[in-house]
Amino acid sequence: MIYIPEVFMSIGFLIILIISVFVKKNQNIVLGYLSLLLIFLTQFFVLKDIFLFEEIFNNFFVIDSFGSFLKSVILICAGFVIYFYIIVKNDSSLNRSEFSMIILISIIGMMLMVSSNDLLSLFVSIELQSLALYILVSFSKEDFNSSEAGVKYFVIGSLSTCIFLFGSSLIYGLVGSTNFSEISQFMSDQYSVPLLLVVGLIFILVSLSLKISAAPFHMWTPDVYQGSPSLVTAFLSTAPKVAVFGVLIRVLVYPFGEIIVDWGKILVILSIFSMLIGSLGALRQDDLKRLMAYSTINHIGFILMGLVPGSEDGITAICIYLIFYITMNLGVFLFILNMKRDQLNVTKIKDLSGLYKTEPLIAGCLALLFFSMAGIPPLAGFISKLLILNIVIDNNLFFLAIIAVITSVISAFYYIRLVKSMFFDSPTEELDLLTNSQSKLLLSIFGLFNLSVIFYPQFFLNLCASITLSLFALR
Amino acid sequence: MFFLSIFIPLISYLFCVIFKSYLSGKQISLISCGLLSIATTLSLISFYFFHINGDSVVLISNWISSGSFSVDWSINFNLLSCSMVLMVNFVSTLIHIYSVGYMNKDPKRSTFMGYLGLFTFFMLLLVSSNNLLQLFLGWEGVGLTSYLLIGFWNYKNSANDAAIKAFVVNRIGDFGLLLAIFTIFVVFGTLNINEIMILVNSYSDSYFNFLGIKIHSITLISVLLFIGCMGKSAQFGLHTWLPDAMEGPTPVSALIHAATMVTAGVFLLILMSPLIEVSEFASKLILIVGSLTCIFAASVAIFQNDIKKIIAYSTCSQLGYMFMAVGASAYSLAYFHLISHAFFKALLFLGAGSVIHSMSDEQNIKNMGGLYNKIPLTYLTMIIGSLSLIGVPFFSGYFSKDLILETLFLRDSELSSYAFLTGLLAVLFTTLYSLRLIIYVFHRKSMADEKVVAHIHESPFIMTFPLIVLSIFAIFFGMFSNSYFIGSDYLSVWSEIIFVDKSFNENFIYENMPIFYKKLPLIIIICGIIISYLIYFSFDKFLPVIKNRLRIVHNFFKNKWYIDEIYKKTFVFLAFYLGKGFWKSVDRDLIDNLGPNGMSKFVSSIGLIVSKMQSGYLYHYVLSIIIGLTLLISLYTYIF
Repeated sequence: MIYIPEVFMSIGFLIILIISVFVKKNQNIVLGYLSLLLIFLTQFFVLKDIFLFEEIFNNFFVIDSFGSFLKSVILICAGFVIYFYIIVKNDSSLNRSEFSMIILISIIGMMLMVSSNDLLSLFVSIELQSLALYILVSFSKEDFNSSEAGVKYFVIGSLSTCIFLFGSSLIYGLVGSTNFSEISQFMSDQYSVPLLLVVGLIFILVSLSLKISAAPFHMWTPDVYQGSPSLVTAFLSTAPKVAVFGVLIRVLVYPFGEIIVDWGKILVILSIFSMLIGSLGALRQDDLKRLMAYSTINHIGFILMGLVPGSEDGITAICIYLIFYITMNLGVFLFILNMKRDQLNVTKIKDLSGLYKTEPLIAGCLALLFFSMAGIPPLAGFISKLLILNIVIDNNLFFLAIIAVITSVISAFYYIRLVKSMFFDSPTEELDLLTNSQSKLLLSIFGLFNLSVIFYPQFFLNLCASITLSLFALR
Repeated sequence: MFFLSIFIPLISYLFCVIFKSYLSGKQISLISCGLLSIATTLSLISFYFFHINGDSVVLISNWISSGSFSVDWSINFNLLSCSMVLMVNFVSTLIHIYSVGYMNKDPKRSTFMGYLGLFTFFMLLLVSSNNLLQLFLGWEGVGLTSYLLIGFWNYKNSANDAAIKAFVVNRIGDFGLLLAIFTIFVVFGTLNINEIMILVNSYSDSYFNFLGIKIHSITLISVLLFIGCMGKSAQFGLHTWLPDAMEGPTPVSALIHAATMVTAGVFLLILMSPLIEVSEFASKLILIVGSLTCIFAASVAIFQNDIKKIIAYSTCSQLGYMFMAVGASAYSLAYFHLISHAFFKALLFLGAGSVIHSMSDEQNIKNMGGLYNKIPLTYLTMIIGSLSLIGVPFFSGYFSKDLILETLFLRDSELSSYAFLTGLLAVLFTTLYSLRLIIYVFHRKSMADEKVVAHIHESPFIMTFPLIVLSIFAIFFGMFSNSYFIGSDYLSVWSEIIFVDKSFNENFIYENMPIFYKKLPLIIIICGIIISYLIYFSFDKFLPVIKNRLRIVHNFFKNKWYIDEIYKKTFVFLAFYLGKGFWKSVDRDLIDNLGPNGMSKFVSSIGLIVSKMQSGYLYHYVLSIIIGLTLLISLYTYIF
C-alpha cells in the first residue's frame, strides 16, 4: 500500500511539513531541495509500476500505464518548477516555506485525478489540486495583480466546480452510479442514450474546459497568467493541463466512448474556438505572459483536435504534443523568470528587443523555442503538430485541418515577431545580464531538446503508443 | 578530340569569368584567343580524319530518365555536325582575334571575351546535339548569350531595349520549337534525332488529335519547327529583332547575327530534313516565307542609312535564300549557302566594324565618304565581301546562290517559278544596296567633320588579319568546295544524314539549264551595277527630287514596311495595356488589398476585437461561461 505513489507522496509531504517548522526563515531553499527529493522518489515508484494494472479502493481509483505515465509527466513538470524556484532568485513574496508545500499538495491532487475511476473521486481530487492552485496564484500578497488574479481564478474555479457537480448529479440520476465502469456498462446496455445524459456530459466537459482554458471558457486565462507570479504561471500552464487532459481522455474514452459522435462535435467546436481565439487574441498583446496565455489557448485547441476521433493514434499524438508543449513552455517561462531590469521583473515584449546583442546564446535558444511553438520544421513543435494534423486528416476532418493550419500561420506571426524583436530591433534599455549559469544551461537544454527531437521521434512515438494501449486493451 | 573542340570554348568562358579580376584584359583576351585557336585546330583535325572514324555518337552520360522518356548528354559526330563545328570554331576564333583590337579600350573586355566563348559553346552544343532536348538547351543558350551581348553596352538604353526585343521575339519562335519537341515526343516517343529519322517513314500517315481536330502529325511538327526557326533566323514576321540587335558591339553582330546563331534555324531544318520532306505543305510554307523574307529585307536594305543595319537586312535576305533552298528540297545547297554566307557576311560585318572604328564610332553612311584611299585594306576587303554577297561569278556567293536559283528554276512547280523570279529581283536589290553602301562609304565626297577626318586611320593588324583571312575564304571557298555539296559522289555521303534529291546533281543542272536562264542572274547584276552608277554618279542631283516625288514609296521602304509600327500598335500596345491594367487593378488593388494586405489588416482588427473582449471584469467572464455552456447545450439539443 505504501508503494502507491500518492500515498508515499502524502506521507513524504507530511514529513516535510514537520521539518519546515524547524527550518529558519531564510533557508527555505532546503525545503525546495527536500521537495525535489520527494518528487524524485515518487517518480521512481511511478516508473517502477508503470506497467501495472489494478483497480483499487473498491474501483474508486485505477492504476494503469496511462495514468502512471501522466503522473510521471506531472512530476517532471513540478520537479522543474521547484528547481526553477531553487535556482532563480525570487521576490521576497515567494520566499516563504509554504510555496513548495502547496505545489506538492496540488501534485497529489493531480496524481489522484489522473487515476480516478469514479466521478466522486475525480471531483475530490480536482478540488484538491484547484484549492492548492488558488493559493499559488494569489501567493504574492503584496502584489495587487496577484490578488486580483487569485480572486478571479477562485470564482471561475468555483463556478467550474458547480458545473461539474451538476453534470455529475445528472449522470448519477440517470445511471444510478458514479463509477466509470458502471457508467460504461450502462452505456453499452442502452439502445439509445438519454438526451439528459449527454447534457450531463456536456456540463462535465465545460467544467474541464474551464480548467484547460479552452475557448470560449478561456476568459480567465490571460488575466490569471499575467497576474500570478511567473513561477506559478509556469506551473499553471503545464502540470494542471496535463492532469486535466488525462481526466478528459479517461472520461471521454472509457465511460462515454459509446457516444463519441456526440462529444466529438462538442470538441470540434471547442478546438476551433480555442485555435481562433488563441491565435487572434495574441496578435495585439504587448505583455509576454499574456501572450503566452493566448499561446496556451491555441495549443490547447490543437491538442483537443487529436481527441476528436477518440482513437488510439489520436491519444498517442496528444501525449507527444503534451510532452513537447511542456518543454517549450517551461523553457520560455524559465527565461521570463530571469527577465529582469535593475533587479525588477519585467515582462513586456519590447523588453526583448536587442536581446541577441547582449545574450546571443539565450536569444538563440529562445528563438528555437518560439519557432518550435510556431511549428516550424524540424523542431519538436512541428512534429507534434504534424502528428495531430495527420490524425485529423486521416479521419476526413478536412475543415478542421484547414482551420488549424490557418490559425497556425496567424500564430506563427506573433512568435516570429518575438524572434524579430530579439534579433533585429535595437534595444531601448538593456535587460540585466543573465548571470545564472544554471538557468542558462537549462534553457540551452530545452532549446537543444526541441532541435534534436527530429532525430529520435520514434522513441516518443513508441513510448506514447504503448502507454495509450493500456487505455484500450486492458478493458 | 571532337569532344574537346566543343568544350574548350566553355573552358575559355569559365577562365575569363574566374580570372577576370586577377589578370589584365589583354592577357585574358590573348588566352581566350589561344584556347579558341586550339579548339579550331582540333575540329580541323577531326574533320580531316572524319573518314577514318565515320558517323558515331559520343555518349557522355544520361541526363533525364523518366518512364519511357530518356535523354542523354551525347555528341553526334557526322559530316554535318563536324563541318558545322569547324565553321563555328573557325569564325569564332577570327572574331575573338578581331575583338582583341575592337574592344581594346572597353573596361569590360574580359567579360566580353567570356561571353563570346560561352556563346560559341552553346552554338557548338546546338549543332552537335544528338537529341532535341540538348539541341534546345543550346538553342536557348545562344538566345541567352545573344541577349547578354546585344545589351553588352548596357549604359545605352537603346542597347537594353534591343536586347529585350531580341529575347522576347525569339521567345515566340522558341515556343514554337518547344511545341514541336512536345509533339515529336507524343508522336514518335523519342527525342533522339537518329531514331526519329528512322521512324519518319512509318509515321508518314499518322494523325495527331488536337481538341478533336485531326492534323497530319508530321505537317504539324514541321510547321512548328519552322516557326521556331523563323524566330531564330529572323524570317518575315519575326525578323524585327535582327536590325535592332545591331546595337551590340560589331564583333557580336558578325559572330551571332551573321555567321552562326541566325543560321541555327536553317541548320535545324536541314537536320530535320527527312521530316520536312514528308510534309508538302510545310515545304511550300517555307518556300513562301523564305522568298517573302528575301525580297522584303533586300528592298528595305536599299533605304537604310545605318551601315550595320544595311548588312543586317542583307543577312535577313540571304537567310531567305537559304529557306528557299530548304523549301525547294535542296538541303545540301542551303547548307552550302549557309557556310559561304557565314564567311562573306562575317567579313562584311568586320569590315563595317573597321570602318566604324576608323570613323570614331560613326555609323551613318550619309556622314561618310571618300574613305577608299584612307583605309585601303578595309576598302578592298569590303569590296570582296560585297562582290561575294552580290554573287559575282567566281566569288563564293556566286556558287552557292546561283545553285539555289537554278534549283528553283528546275523544280517544275508554279510556286518555285515565282520563287525564282523573286530571287532574281532580290539579286537586283542586293546589287543596289551593296553598291550604295560602297559608294556612300568609300567614294562620294566626304561628309564627315574635320575632326573625324583628321582621325581616320587604318585599323591595327589584329583587326585586319581576320579580314584578310575571311576575304580569302569569301573568294575561294565556293570555287573549291561546290562539288562537295552538289557533286554526285558526295551526295551519297550527305544522304546518310540529311534528305538529298540525288537527281539534282552537278551534271543534271549543267544539262538541263538553258543558257539564258543560267546567265540571267549575271545580267541582272550588270544591270544593277549600271543602275547604281547612273543613280549615284550621273544623276545624283535628281535623287532628292525623286525622293520627294515618291515620298510615300520611299517612306514605306525606309520605315521597313511599317512592320515595327504595326506590331507596336497591336501586340505591344495590347500587352502594355493589359499588363498595366493587371498590375494596377488586379494585382495592386484587388489581390494585394484582398490578399496579403487586406488579410493581415482583417486578422489584425479581429485580434484587436478579441483582445478588447477581455474586459477584466469578473462578471463578464462568468457571463461568457454561462453563455458558452448554454450555447453548447442548445447546439447539441437542437442542431446535432
